[in-house]
Amino acid sequence: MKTLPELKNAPSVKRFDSVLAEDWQTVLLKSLDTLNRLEKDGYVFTRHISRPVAKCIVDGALNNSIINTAINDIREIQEEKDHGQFVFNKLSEVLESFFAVKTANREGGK
Amino acid sequence: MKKGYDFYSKYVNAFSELLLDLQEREVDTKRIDVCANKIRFVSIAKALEKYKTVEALSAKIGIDIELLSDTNDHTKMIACVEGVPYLLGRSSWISISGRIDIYGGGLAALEPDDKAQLINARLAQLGDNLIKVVIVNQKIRAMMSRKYATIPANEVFKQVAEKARERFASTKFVTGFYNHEFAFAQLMFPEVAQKLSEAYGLPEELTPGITVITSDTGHAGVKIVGSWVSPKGRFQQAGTEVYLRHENSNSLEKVLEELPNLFIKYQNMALKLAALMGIEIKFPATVLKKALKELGAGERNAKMLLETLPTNDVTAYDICMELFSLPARLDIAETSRLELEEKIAKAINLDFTKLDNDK
Repeated sequence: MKTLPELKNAPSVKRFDSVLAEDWQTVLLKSLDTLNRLEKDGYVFTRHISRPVAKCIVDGALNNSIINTAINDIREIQEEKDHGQFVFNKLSEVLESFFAVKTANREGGK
Repeated sequence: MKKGYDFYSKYVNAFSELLLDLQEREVDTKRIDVCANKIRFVSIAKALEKYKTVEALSAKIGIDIELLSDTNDHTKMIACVEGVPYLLGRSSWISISGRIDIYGGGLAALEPDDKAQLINARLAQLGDNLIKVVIVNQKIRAMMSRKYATIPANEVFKQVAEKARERFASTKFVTGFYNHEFAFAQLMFPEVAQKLSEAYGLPEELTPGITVITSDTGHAGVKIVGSWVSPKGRFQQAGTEVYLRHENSNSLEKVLEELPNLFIKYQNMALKLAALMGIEIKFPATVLKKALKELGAGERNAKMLLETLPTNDVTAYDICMELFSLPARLDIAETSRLELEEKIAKAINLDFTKLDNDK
């Protein structure tokens, strides 16, 4: 499992990085972009997951209960067999980010 | 030197002094909307033929002799606005020659009487078209067309500095200056210097700042330039600038909306993009076209971007990401791509809600 700093420094996250954003905001946004793309490309409906998480980023305060709900929702989608390996892998990436953010938040290392 | 003199100018060492001076100047400012054919120019020499002495003429205008002779050293003209005579300040020439369509370098070289005749003929042609006459410190400083939007200099400095303080924690005033043509102020943001220089990959000793230049008389525009200030106090321009002419529907609000585009890397991109996810767009095609137009990135590119935009439940985030993808999708030279990237980066600060209508 990757840590928050590792995820934040990943090349795919760099384009979302900015000086005033906290690491967890940047990493979560990258995950939301992944969810958005899955929906845009017609794979799965993800907006109900993205919206509340986006609000956390806007409010500047991580809400564990919202992240937990999002994690459960993503797992449910993964359990549906008909989405294929590509979607499963992308959702796993998102889950990894959500767990890293949760862990960093618990340890006080945003 | 009296404030009404054409060459009156002042350097100020404190921002509060600049604001106070410009506030006082605003109090001593009149803006009169008048039909063009209700303005009549006359040379001071011609007026003196009637009033015989400078004393009698200055008494008629209700202005002291010193300002009258100052005018006689420069424009040598008086303009009667609905029958009320005003001295014609030197700065007004920019707007008179430019804004009411009297072109040609030869105009300035004419004798005052000929000039007055020519301008009067043009004003008569313009008939009841409205002209805004701006009178500051007892002289006419500008004559604007009906398209002119009033944006007083004191408000520009006050509100731009407030916005800058909100964004950059504190501002340090460097210097300020004003005369009858324009005013400027230089501000620095030392508290955020380290973060900003890091964002731009520049040496830490450079301090970010802005230069605000505005003119509510002759030139009629606002320009705000982002700068890097060296330890020796030298200002070096940093990337994009904000420029707005005082015309049509332009307003100070529009200037303030543009400010986040200065030092655009100094922002919380995650927060802004996440906020865009919550904005649903009713008219994606129109918003995309308007956004491209506002960014100066070519409306014609909308067709290509629309091909990859989702068809349902489009958000401002979707549109913003499409816009961000544009430079990479065009077959253009590297320099053009960099220019386009700079323009497109401003998409994050667009007010997509405002653009979302079918007009």
